[in-house]
Amino acid sequence: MTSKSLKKDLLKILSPNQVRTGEIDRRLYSYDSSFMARRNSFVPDAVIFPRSTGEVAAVLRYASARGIPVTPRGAGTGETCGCLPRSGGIVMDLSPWDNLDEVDSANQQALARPGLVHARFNRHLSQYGLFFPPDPGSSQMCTVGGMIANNSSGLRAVKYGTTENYVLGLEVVLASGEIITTGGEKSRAIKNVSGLNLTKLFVGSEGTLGVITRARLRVWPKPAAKGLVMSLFNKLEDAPPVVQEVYKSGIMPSGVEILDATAIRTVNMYKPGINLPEVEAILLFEVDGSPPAVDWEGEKIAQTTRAAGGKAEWSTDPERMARLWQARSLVAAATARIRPDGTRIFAGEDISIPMDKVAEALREIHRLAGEYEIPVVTFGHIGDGNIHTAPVINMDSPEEVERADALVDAIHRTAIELQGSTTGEHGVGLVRSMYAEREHKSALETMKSIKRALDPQNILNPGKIWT
Amino acid sequence: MNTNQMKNYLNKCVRCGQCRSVCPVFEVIKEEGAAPRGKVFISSLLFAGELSHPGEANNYLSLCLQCRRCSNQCPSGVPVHRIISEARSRLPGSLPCNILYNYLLPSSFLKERAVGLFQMAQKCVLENLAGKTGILPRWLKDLPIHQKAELPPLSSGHTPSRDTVTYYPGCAATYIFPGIARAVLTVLTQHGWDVIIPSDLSCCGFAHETAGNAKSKALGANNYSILAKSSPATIITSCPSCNLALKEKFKNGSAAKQIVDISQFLMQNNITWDINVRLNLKLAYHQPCHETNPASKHLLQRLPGINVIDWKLETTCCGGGGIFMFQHPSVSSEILKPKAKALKKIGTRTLATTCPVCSLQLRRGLQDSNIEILHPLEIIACNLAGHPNEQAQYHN
Repeated sequence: MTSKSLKKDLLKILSPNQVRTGEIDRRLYSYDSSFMARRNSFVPDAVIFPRSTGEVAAVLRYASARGIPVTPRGAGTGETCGCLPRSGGIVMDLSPWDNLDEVDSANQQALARPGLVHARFNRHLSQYGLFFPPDPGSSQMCTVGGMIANNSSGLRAVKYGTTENYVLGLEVVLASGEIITTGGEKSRAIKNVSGLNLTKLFVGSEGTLGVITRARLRVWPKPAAKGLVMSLFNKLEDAPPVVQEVYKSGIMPSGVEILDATAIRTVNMYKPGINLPEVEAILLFEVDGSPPAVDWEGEKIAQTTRAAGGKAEWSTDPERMARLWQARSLVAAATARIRPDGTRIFAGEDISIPMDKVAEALREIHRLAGEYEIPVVTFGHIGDGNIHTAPVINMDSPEEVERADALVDAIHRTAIELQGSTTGEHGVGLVRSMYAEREHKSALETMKSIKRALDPQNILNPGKIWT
Repeated sequence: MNTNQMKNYLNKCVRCGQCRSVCPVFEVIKEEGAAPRGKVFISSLLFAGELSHPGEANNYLSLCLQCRRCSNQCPSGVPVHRIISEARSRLPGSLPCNILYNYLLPSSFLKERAVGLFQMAQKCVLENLAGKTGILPRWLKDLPIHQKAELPPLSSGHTPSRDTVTYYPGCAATYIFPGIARAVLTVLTQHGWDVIIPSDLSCCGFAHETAGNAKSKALGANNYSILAKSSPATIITSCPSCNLALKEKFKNGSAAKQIVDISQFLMQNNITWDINVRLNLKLAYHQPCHETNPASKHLLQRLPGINVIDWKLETTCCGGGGIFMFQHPSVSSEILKPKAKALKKIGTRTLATTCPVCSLQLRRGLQDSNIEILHPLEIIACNLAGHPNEQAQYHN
């Protein structure tokens, strides 16, 4: 079907300012931030901006009647080609549909439309002394719908878990256009085990099972105090046992981040004024809760670090904490600048490793980086084993691009061999679909059966999650 | 920017989307084509010759205020504003823009004769063409251009004077808001500085540069050669965009001059104000996107009797963006709306800002209020002891 005839049909459902089929508009929806999208062009035939559940349902009814692929999209900040139309068709940009329909503070929940930006949601909730705990690094621009579709999380997943822990129910439009509400049609219950857990089925389904049009989200009271401990270790291997010791002492930090030697050097090169000690590992522990608990926990983590031969300083002063966090927050910007001709690529960037194998994984990544001669900076959430790898390559060298592909593949295989996963919080999309068989074995067939049951024509985001 | 540099910058954009969170235009339009990374992407298609109708790129590339928030925010250090300017330079400009950039703002600021002719045209021809037929945009008719300002004496009369400085007034303080140039000269001379305003200075070329108009280079070169030869080491500006344009020019040149904003200059010199009566003036400050340091606000805060209110939207963009407000009036108004609403709500009668374009835009949004918009130096000048307008305007 041509863009022109598709436009004609879509205009029977939507208004002219909700449908785009021009060359430039379509190409604008051919990318996300993945490395794969830099080298491939997944151009839709039409882009639409639905603003109601009825509109989404009408479009899906039309698309299923004609077998046209439909790919839902949030802010397009993903790193997996998850929101890109592999086989053309319609891209549904849900990001402008960003209403926060309700905050029910007494019941600690809120009703949001898919395009609501995470940071904006939390700014609004703070008026009620509440917050939505999952905290992706893309908080300022990512949408709640995208977070649910990818089961996103961030550095505070250590204590608060991932998005799935905060979705009480969803309004979903199925491929057929049928509208369902999961988690109880009218339920505002926090605990609810009636029926099969369809909510969890849709969380992390990357737009392949239905289009999320509204979410009932659990929100939490904001902790009264926060503290930050910075621990320095001369040997990388000394850092992970300290994280284990901290857990053993009964402390669950809200986040535990690691900067290894590559990240430290990179930050120092970018901002020499910061002058981070050139050690093999810096750990940042964030603790939150009541003020006395934060004080006790901060002091205890500092003691544990010192007992293991490391150095530690900690603070509850917001300005001091911001300075300590600076090193972590600058890594991404610094990485992009380590090579004048280089580009930081998002590939092999999200492996998840058992916590007791983090040091081993980091050593192996750097061995591989040496083998493939690609500069790599590593950092990440050591508190739950989620490591971010940032290769920096010359995009204009096809030979180097090929080496980068081989390195990324080796990193993903390492994660599986170490009993981890190829992705901890970013998702599969297209870029990791080739590992589905290896990671899931026989369970993959069950996944495919579920997909067939809910989307028999395979129109919803086809070609994703598995090959 | 040479081709290799451009390619390098385009490569560095990883399309992470951080820029979606800071772009005032995207905030209103909410489509990928309005996001800075979208405009970088379109630019890359344009440079690669991949668009079948390259002219259509202008529909997207014109939707940029050149506020530089995206460039400042970008974790990969991509100078988005420069990429967009470069892309604009590859596209033919519209007729009204060409009139503005090539004939109205090209040399010696505006030529006196050009001003006269333009004013006449505004009254006779444009009234019909712009207002009724819609052939030309209304902004050409509404642009408030005056004859060149009469300026007060440039000498302080102090012997010996503190020093001699050069003042670069720019087009706006010469032809649109001459009160700014008068205020700068009054404050400088009353505090012992002698001032030079070299003749034959041209427009700073900032608007040309951002629009991708080739005249920017000639304008910059003309200003550089005149200012580099002028003896004072300090060149004072009163407009943040002129300041950026001159700094950019001198950064690449060999002449060692300090380009400094008037407020920053006065703060550096730690002026003690001779203001006799306590003003009791409550005002709000609007920080222009191109203002790179907070000196103007700090200067006002240091004045006795001035209460500078802290308000939430002080640093958000007003949606002016040079000719953006005329090219995209509805988007521009949408950007301004929350700011104008907040200003009316906080109950100030005076708003201070340094940027003449912001000032024009804010006047548009606040025309139904009694809020007066002034440059910080205008507020200071007319309250200096002995000034004829002292205490004339401020009572709130």
